[in-house]
Amino acid sequence: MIGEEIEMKLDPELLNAYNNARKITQDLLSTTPEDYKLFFFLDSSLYDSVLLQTQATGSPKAIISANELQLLQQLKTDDLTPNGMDLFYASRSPRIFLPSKSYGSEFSSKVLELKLVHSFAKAALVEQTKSNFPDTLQQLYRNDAIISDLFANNVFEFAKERNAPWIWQYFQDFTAGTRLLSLYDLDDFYIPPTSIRSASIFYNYLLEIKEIMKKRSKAVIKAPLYDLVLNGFAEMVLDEHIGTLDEHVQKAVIPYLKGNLGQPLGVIGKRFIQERGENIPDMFEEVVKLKNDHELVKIWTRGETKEELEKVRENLTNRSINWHSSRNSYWSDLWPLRASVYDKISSTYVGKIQRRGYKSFSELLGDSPLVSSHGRVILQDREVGVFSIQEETVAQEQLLILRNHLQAKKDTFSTPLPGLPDVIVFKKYAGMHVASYLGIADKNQEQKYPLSPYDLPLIVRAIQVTRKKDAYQSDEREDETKISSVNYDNLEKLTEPQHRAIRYLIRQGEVIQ
Amino acid sequence: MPHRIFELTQAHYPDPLVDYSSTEFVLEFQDAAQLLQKWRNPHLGRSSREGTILGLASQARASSDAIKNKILTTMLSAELEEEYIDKLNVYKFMLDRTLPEALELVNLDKLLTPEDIEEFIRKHLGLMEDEYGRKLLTATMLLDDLHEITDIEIKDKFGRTRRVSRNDVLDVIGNILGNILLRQVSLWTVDDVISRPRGRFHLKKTYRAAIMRENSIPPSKISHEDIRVIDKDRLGIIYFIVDMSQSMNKQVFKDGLTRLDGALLTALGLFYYFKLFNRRKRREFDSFKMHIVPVTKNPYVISDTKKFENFLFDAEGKGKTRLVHATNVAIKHATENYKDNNYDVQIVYLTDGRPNVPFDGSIPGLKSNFLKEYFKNNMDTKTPKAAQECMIQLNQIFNYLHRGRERNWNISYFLMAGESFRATGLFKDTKEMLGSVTAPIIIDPTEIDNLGKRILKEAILSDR
Repeated sequence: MIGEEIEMKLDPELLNAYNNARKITQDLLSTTPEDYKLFFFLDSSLYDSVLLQTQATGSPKAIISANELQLLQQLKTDDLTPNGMDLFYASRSPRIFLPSKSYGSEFSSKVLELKLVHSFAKAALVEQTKSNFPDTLQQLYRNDAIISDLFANNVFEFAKERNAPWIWQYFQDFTAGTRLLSLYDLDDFYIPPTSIRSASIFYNYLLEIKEIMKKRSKAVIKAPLYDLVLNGFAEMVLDEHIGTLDEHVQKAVIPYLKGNLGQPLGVIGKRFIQERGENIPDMFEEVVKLKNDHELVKIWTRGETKEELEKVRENLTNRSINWHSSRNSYWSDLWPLRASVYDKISSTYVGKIQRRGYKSFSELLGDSPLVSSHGRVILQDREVGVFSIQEETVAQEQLLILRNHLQAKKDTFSTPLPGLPDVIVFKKYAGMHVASYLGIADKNQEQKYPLSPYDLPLIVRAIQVTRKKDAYQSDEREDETKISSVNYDNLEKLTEPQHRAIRYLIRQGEVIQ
Repeated sequence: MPHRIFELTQAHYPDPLVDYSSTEFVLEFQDAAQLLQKWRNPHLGRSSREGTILGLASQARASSDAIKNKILTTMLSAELEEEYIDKLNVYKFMLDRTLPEALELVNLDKLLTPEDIEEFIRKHLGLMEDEYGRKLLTATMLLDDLHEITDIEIKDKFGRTRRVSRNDVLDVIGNILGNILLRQVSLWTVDDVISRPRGRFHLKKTYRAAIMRENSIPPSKISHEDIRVIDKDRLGIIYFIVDMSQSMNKQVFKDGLTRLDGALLTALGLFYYFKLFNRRKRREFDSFKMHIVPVTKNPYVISDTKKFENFLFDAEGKGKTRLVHATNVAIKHATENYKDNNYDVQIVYLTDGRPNVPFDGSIPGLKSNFLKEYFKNNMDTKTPKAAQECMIQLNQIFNYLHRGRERNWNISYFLMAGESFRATGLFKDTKEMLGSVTAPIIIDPTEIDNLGKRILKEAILSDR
């Protein structure tokens, strides 16, 4: 346990709401969760940070890369955090995160009470479920906590000892980069062998992180799909309770429960759970036995499901008007937004589970990978790796570390291993399809001692991948011989414009040298 | 049911979005000078511009995802909801149409400067507003943000990159270079000092008065009678005469910086210094008015600030050095446009000291034979005849201005060259030409630290 037990002047309304919520949960489920942690953030900006971070990485302790960090910080500055959401981390002894804020004047503590009921319903389910979903999240949390501790202890000392402030960012990027790539088994090319563990604290740390990351990735991949069950059950419990309230209270509180009620995952999950029993305690008993979403949705065929979910969608239309105050653009802009998220879950997520019988996260991940490797281009003196990465964790500077952390030759981080080859990365942003190239400028020159792994002459280019014929004009080069000896045979799963972009970038890389 | 309440502090639960890597990132003069070079040669900065577009894209994507999420989960007022919808549309438009096209154009070197990119996006958002048939507040706001566009990549000493905006860089140049150069340029906003202990102190003059009275350095005390206060502020007009001849293209400084780069850096340094000064003064009119006179075939005066800045970024060296012509233009401009003698005039030369086209018409001032004699006696000088003729003319003008009683004319003569230039005959000749009016200052912008010390020393020596 952290901290000491202290006498606090606790807001009596808060305490009241908390006790009421427990009572309501007891009445509804005939049980209450006992093992959970409720974090109540007095500083709502800290809550925003935790929310953004958890959404981006999947756990509240994971380390974020410098690139993503900047983006998230910008979101916070622009006040774009979706902080109407309650954060619930469904590990063993689940963590409930709530910001401290007022929800309207009269019914503020009532709203808080209902939000707590929502969370307690989830917590009760997580406590008793037969699924190993909470165990997985627990493992994730533990691993991330270990890494974060290792990070804080080692890196602090290391940065101080060597007087090298770049080390913070380096390890941050390294850890986050490994986390992403190890999910796809792409992390092997930049980890040194165990024999150099004794070389320095630097390598020791890298090896430790790698092992922990490996475990973490395994856990993530094995994780069952459980979102429908969890959200659906909580939605049902909360909805049931709201039904018993007075009409005018309902009217006042429902707008504030926008983040809890009417979310597509919850609404769809609820529809399936309703088939499991007559009253809530019965359903609870049934739902506890479910191991994953597949077991929940397999009761209907695809056709039946479509029919049922169409009815739910119509119902959602009527209700969701409660949650938006703008009447001008409701039908033109707001409803389509909600509907598109709904359709995505009802047809893509539920559809995939029903048609292909997906049970675990790995199957979903394999279907639309965020990172994939397209092989390598082989040049005379080096290789160029080709990837597509649809994630903000790894950007140019992060790639540089992967490219380079074994290239730097100063005493503090010398190594016998070659680094990653130059890389070409494809990334899509809506209508944009970018191919970027990262290479080292003077390969032939004797390396001076760089001050850090970032300290290298770089060639960086980014181009729009396009079908246009005249898109890639290049500065002509006289001796074409070197370029003609490039081997493009090992590439796979690429489109024609992508191939052209690769050729152009390789040519450019040669020209600049 | 042992439910217990703990109080956790920031120490127990730190902000997960903490930026571990944020160490001090100081932009130094060297960096600023190099960046300037990049701007002036847009082909050098292509990957940086591509990075700008990528940065905009990833921010737009993250923002639009977050907005969607926010609209669906967070209670919002009607105005806010509509604002977010607008924002969402703008980002969507940017991601689908504007940025891909912009990136293509940057790839093809058709958008060469951050201004080009901004202009392009502005045009596109205009199109979008036409499509919507109304003004989109978000689009306007986004454009305002673009002014702060961080278009330039710099590296710290560990090689980590950061993006900075042009203004950051120019502030550095103005602050460092301008501050140092100002000691040579004898423009102060002080007209006179009076011995009356009321008003704002003029520390330098006060200190000097004390030294003069006691005849010792440092003075043991500052007495009542030493105190000098500033009487009133005066106005200054500055003419930068920038040599843009062929010879200025020669690379004489470190890192391939040409003489012209050096001259423009110096001009920029002073320009931003005075601009900052004007801003700081917060008067309804500017204390300093700045003009630039490029030494071209037909020298002309640029007074508009925007054009001035653009000129400094776009200038390229070609043709001969018509220094006398440019001087004439500046003097004419000053006497015709600023009839009020309350204006002090400062003419700042930024040149390599090789004028080569004598002026045909009449020039102000009395002919003096002094410099002619000097060249006659120095038969072995390597300065060409045309240059000698120009120098004689310049000397005549300078003497005329220096003696003029109706207003204060000041001359600064900056030579773009390395320290070794001091030993050449041309430097001696130039020194002779400037005579008692002023001393030539050799400027090597890449040696900024030494420059500061030297100018300080020379300024103190010459300012007795």
